[in-house]
Amino acid sequence: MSLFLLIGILLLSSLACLLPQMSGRELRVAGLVASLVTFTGVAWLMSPVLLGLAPDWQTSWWEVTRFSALMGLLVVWLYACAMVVSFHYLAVEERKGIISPRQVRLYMVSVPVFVLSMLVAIFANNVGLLWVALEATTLSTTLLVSFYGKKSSMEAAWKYIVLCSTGIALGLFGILVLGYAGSQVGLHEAEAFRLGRLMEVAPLMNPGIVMWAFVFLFIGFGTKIGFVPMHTWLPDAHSKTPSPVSALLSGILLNVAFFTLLRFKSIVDQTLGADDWTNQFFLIFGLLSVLLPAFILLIQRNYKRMLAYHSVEHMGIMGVLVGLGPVGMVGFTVHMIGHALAKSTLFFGAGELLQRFESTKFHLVHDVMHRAPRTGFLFLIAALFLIGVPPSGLFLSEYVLVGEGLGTNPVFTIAALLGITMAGLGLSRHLFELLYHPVVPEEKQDAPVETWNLTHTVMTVQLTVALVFGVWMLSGQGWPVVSLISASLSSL
Amino acid sequence: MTTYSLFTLLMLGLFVTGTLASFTVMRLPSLLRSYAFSSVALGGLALALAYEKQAVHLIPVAVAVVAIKAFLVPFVIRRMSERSGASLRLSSSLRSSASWFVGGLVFASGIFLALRSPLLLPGEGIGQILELLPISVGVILVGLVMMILRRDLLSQIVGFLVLENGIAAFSLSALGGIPVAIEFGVYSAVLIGAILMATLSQRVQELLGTHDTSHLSELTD
Repeated sequence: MSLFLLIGILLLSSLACLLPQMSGRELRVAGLVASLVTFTGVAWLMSPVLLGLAPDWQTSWWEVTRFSALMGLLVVWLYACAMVVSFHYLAVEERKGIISPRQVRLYMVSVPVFVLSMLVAIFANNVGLLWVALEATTLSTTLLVSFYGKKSSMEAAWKYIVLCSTGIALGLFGILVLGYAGSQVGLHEAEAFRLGRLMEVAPLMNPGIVMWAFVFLFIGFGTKIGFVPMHTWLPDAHSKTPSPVSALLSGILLNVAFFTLLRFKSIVDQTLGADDWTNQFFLIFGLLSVLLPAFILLIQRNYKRMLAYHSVEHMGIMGVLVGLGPVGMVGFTVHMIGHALAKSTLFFGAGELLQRFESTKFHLVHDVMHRAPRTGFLFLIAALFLIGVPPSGLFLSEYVLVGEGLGTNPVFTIAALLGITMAGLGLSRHLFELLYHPVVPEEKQDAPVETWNLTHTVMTVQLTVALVFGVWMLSGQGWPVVSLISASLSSL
Repeated sequence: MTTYSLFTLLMLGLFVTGTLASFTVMRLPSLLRSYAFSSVALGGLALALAYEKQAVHLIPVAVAVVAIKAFLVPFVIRRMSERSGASLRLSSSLRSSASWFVGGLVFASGIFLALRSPLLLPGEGIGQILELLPISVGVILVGLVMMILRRDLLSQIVGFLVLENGIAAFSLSALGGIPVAIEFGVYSAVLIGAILMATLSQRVQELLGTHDTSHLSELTD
């Protein structure tokens, strides 16, 4: 019932923004209020489950576990942060005449539907509903990718919708094959689409059919996650959306797609009686996703694309962690939280840089530390968090990758470590050029004096949360709690 | 052979022919007509299954398939392309004469793949139109290859829709359809997806004066 109330709030917010008499400011206020109400509602509902104070529960349509509660909270946290940033970001763009009130309306109609789709995908216990929700995340954000109407935006939007929709369609085929395996062991039509029921009969299902299903599920949802070589849409789409939306796409949508794939992995592992077979997929595609961006990051010329490629790399790290088994899963959970906080902060900062220097090209933005010291400092801290400098939580997850991986998969681990190091070096090189390199004649010279704004406040709050989380994890106190949360996702 | 078997066979034939024709034809009206024919056949197969299994819930599904895929989606694509003044001539990496051969080969590969897969285990058929199962895998593959080989936005949309038709056919054959609420969710997603793709292709046409995908190559590293 409470979930339906939240769905109602988000839908109502989206529909309210369709009213033609609302001004740009009113639209921004409506979007902000809806995000704060949603955050409060989800926090009130899910915090007890996450903390283990209330039990997991499921119905024929919904399932709430400690892990899904964590995912839900991450979604609404980033949603609220993104809408606070959007309040400022869209006002600046509207004032400069870059966007019209009509575009603000499109933004405020699309974002709540996008967030709603992610929440439904997380809490769905019905695979059909899960699929529709995941496809809706693509459909609701396509027009945000083409938001600025440029040729490059159109290209990015086209790749985004075609590749993601095709990937998700193949995922649907995988879902149907899994349902077919379920129906062969006696599940009737509706039950064959219920994750809980599939999990119950998983040991009885035909392993050959289930393996077939997983191959399609991996290709399908792997496309949405951005695993190499299905990642080609990601750098284009994530760099072309307005920055607060990029933060949501990179910071949380990829995680939501990853989470849905892991739910299917649990079923397949149950059928096969072991997780070795599925882990191989995550190890191989994870490693590829670490290595390719590592090379591209060295030659990257655009800071938003750099951040997008970093997302591919981090999905790769998370893939390798999943492939390392139960201890790796704890590392995965830590990495997911740390990456979501650091990456969204960086995209918020990237939006600030874009509005101030009017370019996303490295060769046209320099000396940020002097010309925009607040943004520069927060951007630097977030970047250090992203490359795993302690006390970042990512340091712990990457430490787990090395520690656990060297024992079980030394070759994979050394290759992954090499990729992670290269990607970190690539980011650092570009970052220091951006922050400290003297201004060149070709770039915009007269950037206005920087004052503290809402985006800086959000970035500071995000970094504080990331810092507290990192210290909590590195002190050892967080490990048992996160272990329990990640255990709710595994079936073996 | 009963009237039912004849009807099913006719629909299967129409489904395959419509799909292969979609792969081959190089003008937009013919392409949309071919796709519409295969969608009507898919609706017919849903009806045949409703009759065989006495599954009344498949009747509205069949009606929705025909209404959305055979009429609404082709209408939207046609309308959008007319508004943007797009050329009706489509482009492909293949010559028209080679298309039938390649399409047939891809379709046959799909069937071969399905027959070799564990999907068709002897004695484990669950009573649906079993011929449709390997055919659906063939259609999925044809849709996928069509999206790769075609070089214009409109054909790529239809390629995606052909692929989706294959998936819908698989759901009919393997599962006897999926729950109605989910079925309508899937069709809504397909419809909205097709409208969005058509809208984007219209904007690209207005911006670049062509819907050839080779002009969309600005974003590189």
